[in-house]
Amino acid sequence: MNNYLFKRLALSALTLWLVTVVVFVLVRVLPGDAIVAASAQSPGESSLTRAEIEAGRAALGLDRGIVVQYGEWLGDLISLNSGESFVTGKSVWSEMRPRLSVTLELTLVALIIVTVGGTTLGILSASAEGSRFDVAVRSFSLLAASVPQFWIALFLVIIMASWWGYFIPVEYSHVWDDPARNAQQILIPAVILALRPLALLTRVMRASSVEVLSTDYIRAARARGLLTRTVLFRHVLNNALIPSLTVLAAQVVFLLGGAVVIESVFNLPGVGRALVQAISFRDYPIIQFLTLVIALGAVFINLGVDILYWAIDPRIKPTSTARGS
Amino acid sequence: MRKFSLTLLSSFFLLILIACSSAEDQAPQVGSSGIPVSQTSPASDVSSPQSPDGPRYGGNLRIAQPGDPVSCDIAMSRGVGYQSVHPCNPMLSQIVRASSADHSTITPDLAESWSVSDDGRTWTFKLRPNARWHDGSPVTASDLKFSIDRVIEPPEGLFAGRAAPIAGYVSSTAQVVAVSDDTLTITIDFPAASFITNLANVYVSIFPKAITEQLDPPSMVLHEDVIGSGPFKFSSATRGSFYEMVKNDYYYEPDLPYLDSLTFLVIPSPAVRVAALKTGEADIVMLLTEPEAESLAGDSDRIRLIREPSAGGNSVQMNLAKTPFDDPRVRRAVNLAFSRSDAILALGGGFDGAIMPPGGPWALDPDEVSRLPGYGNDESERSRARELLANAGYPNGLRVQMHSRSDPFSTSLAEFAVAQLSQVGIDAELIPLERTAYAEFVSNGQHTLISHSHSFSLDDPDAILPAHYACGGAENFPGLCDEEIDRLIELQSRETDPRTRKQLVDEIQRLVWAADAKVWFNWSVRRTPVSVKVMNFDPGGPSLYQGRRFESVWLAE
Repeated sequence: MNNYLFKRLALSALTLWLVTVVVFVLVRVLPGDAIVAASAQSPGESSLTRAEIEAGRAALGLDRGIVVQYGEWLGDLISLNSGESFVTGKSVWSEMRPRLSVTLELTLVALIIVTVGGTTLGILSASAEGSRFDVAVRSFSLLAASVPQFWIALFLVIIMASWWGYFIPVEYSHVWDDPARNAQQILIPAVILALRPLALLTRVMRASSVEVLSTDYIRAARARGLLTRTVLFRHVLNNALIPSLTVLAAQVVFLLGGAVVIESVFNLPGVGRALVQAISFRDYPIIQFLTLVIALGAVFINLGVDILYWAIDPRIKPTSTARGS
Repeated sequence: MRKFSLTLLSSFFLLILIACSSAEDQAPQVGSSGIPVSQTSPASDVSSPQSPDGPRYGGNLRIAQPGDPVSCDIAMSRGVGYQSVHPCNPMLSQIVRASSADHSTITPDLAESWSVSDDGRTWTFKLRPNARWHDGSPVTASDLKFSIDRVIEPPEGLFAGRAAPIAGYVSSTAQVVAVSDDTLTITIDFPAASFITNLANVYVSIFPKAITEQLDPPSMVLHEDVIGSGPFKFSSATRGSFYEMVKNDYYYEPDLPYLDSLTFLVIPSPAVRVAALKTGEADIVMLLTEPEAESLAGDSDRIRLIREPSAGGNSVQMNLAKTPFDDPRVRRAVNLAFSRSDAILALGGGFDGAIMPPGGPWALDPDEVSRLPGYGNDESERSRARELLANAGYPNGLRVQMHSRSDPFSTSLAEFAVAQLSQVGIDAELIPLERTAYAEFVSNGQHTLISHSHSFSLDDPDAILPAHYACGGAENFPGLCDEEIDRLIELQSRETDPRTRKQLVDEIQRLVWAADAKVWFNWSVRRTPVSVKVMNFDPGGPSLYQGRRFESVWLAE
């Protein structure tokens, strides 16, 4: 196990290093830079001359070789210096820390909804296969997986405004400042963000559970007179969980991506919106930092899931060729 | 049930309409019906309601805009469009201010009075005795000198953008002198009628020397950094969410502002901004497209829609250094291809004009505008355009690439332009580019033909003509370089007789229009919806930027 973990951590470090190289190069391949981007934000008489653009680039250090710039950024990263935003001049970490907390809260609440809702609905639907409840759950799953999130989100905002005159408060309050207001701002977006992953997890969980329910050991458990609840949540759940975990891991990354759209519609100041804005402004330090953080999250979620496989079913032996990285 | 279905249906269509649209610096939208905003001469519905009971103190005014302010140092040009000016201007002051309705009418601000020497070169400004910064310390002439000096010689890495015309009058910081704490003199290089107008531009805001110099770089970029002398001061902000300011008790007008606080809400989605207005979460929403404006039709008891002419418009611009637009016949054919009346119908309104904003003091006479190439009978002009193309060697028409910004608003304008050009056999392939990529592409001179929109901050010849039409001007994307135009631009700037100057500006307009390099096909309408409880709101006149201090606005019960 230790050897396996070491190899996985080494592979994760290599992945992250590759991410730093790819992101660093890619953002510089994009046409324009922070100086041109700034003048492009205001159509009118604000364009800069070529001389001013060159002077601005020099002031930001963008006139140096790409290897020199990369080396400096990597050195700063290793010494835990996230750099400074090209737009605000403030430390990237101090700018993004509050944004990360918003997105983490949003995705965490969505993840709880997905996990609890998806497993429960999947198992209950499987146990009542063919019933009205099963049909309703399957229909819901199909609908939730098919309709785009931004459409549902916009539709809901307009409906709430038109029918009930209700609008989710705009000024964001952190959970530690005003929990009630924060709940108003986070819950509905989290539910909408969760819909598609919830639908997928429900379908996978249902399919796995139907398969497990038809096995001999479940029939034996029932024959022993165990309660349906015990059969479902002790025996079926454990065995149906492995394929669902794979889906769940992929959906966590999807949640982070979906947060970009949801944050825009519901005015949440999270990293999704910050990343889109940073790309528009060619704010390289912010783009690089956020991409790295998201990659870090994806790498460790996958690592965590591999470990969870083993924890749930010790028969699965961790090897260096285990799933993904 | 019927009401339910109707609401559901209307919400569905609104969603589709809004999903297809987005507002930027100005707003019309292709494809909307030609609502009652189609005028050939500017007129606007800007009358602001007043209450017989007079102004009322207190309350929080909430304004929704799509994005965060980029920088409150609006004197420097790092991306400071209206989304920076609007939430920052209430915290700032200038030496003098331009009237929002007529930018050549100047009113006092930090300077309570001013005079000019007999030779027209030395301007003396007397400061108000009670002008104070938000921290209570007095505003002095050295603060004013510091603020003007940095426009003339910007600190490293910063650039005077829309404030830059000031440097065209004052070539050295030695010409700006703080004579005493309450007196400032500025000696300009030559007598210039537009100097005071450009000094009154909102972008020439005044910052405290001692505090700004301590910042690195010396620039009040962030909202929370701002110590200004405007009617409101910083209270709290969360980037990506909101910016709140509260009443400044040190404001030089002791009875103003009426409001207790002012909040700018950041709401990226146009649909959500409209919903915020309908629910009362926002009192004012900046910039709507025509479909969005139409969606408010049922709320006229609660929301007043202000439609006014904008000092901005839409054009196609040809690169004169590239084939086929190095041939004046082809450029003239492009100009003649456009039906300005179709534009007014298709773009949800607009105005006819030459190269200075229509309706303003510098606009070409409407009668003369109606005789300019491109404003004649559509069919005969298009027939003439086809002849010109044939004479230029394109009897079967020609194919060109047209670039535009990729946001829905810009793309829809470009699609309109493509359709118009096709009427004379010009097959334009539309290539939308992301905003920054577009700016890089154009600033490198890679373009052949672009569809472009502009919004001017100041309706003044010195603020517009050198940047857009003089040789090497930063916004002269066609690369127009004409000695006579340059000479006249210089001449009008030095002309102090208003009538003679207007004649010079008119002549420049004729020459520029005849060059067919930057073809304006529609001057825009701006739509600003405001809650009926908002009183004495000045929507800013033709400019999207001037008059946004909100000190005289108040809220009815």
